[in-house]
Amino acid sequence: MDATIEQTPRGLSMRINVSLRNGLHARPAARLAQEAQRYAADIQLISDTGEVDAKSMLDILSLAPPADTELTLLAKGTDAREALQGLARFFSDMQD
Amino acid sequence: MARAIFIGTPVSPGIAIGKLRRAHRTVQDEERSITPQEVAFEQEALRNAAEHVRAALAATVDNVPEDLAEYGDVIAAQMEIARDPKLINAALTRISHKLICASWALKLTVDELCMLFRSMDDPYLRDRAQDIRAVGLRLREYLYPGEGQNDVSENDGILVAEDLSPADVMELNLNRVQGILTAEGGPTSHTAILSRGLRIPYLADVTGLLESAREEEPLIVDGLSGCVLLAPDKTDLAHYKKRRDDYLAWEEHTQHTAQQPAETCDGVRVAVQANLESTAELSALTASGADGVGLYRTEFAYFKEHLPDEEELVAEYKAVTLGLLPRPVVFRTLDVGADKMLRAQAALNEPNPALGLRGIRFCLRHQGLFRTQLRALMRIGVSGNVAIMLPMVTTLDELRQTRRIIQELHQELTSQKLPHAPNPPLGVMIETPAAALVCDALACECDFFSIGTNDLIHYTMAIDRNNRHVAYLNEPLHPAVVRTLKHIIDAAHREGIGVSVCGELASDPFVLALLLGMGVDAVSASPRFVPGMKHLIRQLNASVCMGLAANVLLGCDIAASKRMLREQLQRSLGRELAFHTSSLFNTTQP
Repeated sequence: MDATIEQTPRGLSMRINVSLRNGLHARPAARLAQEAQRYAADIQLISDTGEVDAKSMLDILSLAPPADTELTLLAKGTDAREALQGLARFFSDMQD
Repeated sequence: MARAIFIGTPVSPGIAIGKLRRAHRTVQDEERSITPQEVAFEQEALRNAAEHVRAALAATVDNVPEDLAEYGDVIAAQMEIARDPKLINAALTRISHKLICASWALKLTVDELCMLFRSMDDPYLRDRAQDIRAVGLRLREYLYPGEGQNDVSENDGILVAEDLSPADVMELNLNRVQGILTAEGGPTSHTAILSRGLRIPYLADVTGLLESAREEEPLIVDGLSGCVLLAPDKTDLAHYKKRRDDYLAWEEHTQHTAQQPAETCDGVRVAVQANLESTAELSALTASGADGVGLYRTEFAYFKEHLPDEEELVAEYKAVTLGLLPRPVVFRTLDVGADKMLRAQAALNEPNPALGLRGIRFCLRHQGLFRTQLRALMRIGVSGNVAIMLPMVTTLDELRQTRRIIQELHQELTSQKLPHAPNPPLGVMIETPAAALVCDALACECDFFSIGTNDLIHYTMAIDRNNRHVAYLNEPLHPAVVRTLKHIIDAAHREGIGVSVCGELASDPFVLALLLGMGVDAVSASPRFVPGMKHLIRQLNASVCMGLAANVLLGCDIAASKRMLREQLQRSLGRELAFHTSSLFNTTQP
């Protein structure tokens, strides 16, 4: 998955294609939140339906993105770039 | 309360002695306003509680048996909730903004989140509200240690609840629960499977106890005969301690001999198979010595967030069949309705789903779903030992329609060059009086019968399984039931096909002896009971059982039949009879 990181007024942004057989349900959502919590940056997860805190499993769950979807990750903070790179790796690992 | 006996349905066998502990204990909620100086203290208390809960959950993960990985997921999700900013940070903010104590702030936050999740469309997400509630309750207990008397070292707790869900898994492990009692629930609930996996005695349908017993009151759970003894005296305790030891020794013996075939003293061999809910129980099954799976309930895959596609089903069915080769696996096609519903079905809004569009009726109406499942089963049929069983059949036409669909699928799969079994064994589940009365015709056109005793009794006796007022009519030895069973078995044998009995009743020693006497070919029950059943069959004599069955069939007096069965089994088994689970003798009369 080639993800390009762009500079936006709200911080660094990256678009990713997520294709999980069962969507972002409990287990992947929990792992995503755990991964996001490793970084100090504020990380938002944005879909067509809303914008949530990527460090909160409950938030990610309530976004309930469909199985195949495009999401945007938005990170703001000192380690924002590392965070986005780390999460990009996380998503590509999860699809395997 | 004074010494008293309560009756329940045995779900997981064994004997437990301990003290009553209520699940979902509502700790008295403190709703207190605080001064700005106290904010830091309250926030710290909440952070500490969250740490404690996470540590306790992490310890619980190790106690969950490997074959119950599903519960591992529940725990992982709850650990994540226990540190979720949406919950914890929101509560911390409430403390400082509203100047209220931690417990109050937590309660408001949990209520708000639960409400949010409960209002969601997706049933999977709705269920997460249970996880949030469970974590919230646990956090509140740690906020005020001491008040909940929830000492982690306590290990003689008997958990009593209205009902338990997988979200309550913590309650089961954290305090090393000795026994479980619920007012609702049944032998196929998640809690039932977990309790059997963890070998915790469990009685469901226990009425009256929650209302009359106090916390910490001593009690004995007899998961064998299905009764609870509240406030036992010294003699009771001594008696049950001995019984518990004897039972454990007996159980160990049956485990040792589990791999030997089930053959009566006079050389009649019967297949003892296991009922399976999901692949999670596979390893328990191999250890139980079961001669294959007599009933694989395929519903599990359909209650996840999305309907399964063909490949998912193939993968699931493959995991079940290949691990058990050469032993057979009987797959019951999707049986939703009555107590379990899919969304398409819930939309029908039937006033009485037990008599509605369920089982094969639902499948023939929603053929897309049915065809996907049949295709997966046919594809597995080339490598595994697979049989297909149709639930809720009432007419011959349902069987014929299914055969036609299988023929069409055979052509479809052939043209797609997918290897498959063109004509896998197809059986009918006899669980309605209509099917029982036309079973001679059904026997001519199918490959085997399987009798679902639960539904057959309910439909024959015209009782609603959820209606306590008529529960006394749930009587396996009623002449109507016994004669129906005999009629089905004979019709099958006349056409040269096999009959199995796959209701939970098959594990009841009295019913098992009766079924042997009627000539049943296979019995199937929860893997937990298989070693005991095999052991029992080896102690019985088929010709004696035949005489017994003949006498029961001739008579119309249920009490006399029971007496006769009890006397005979007492003679054959001696004191071991008490180690088998039976609810035959404690039916509550009106």
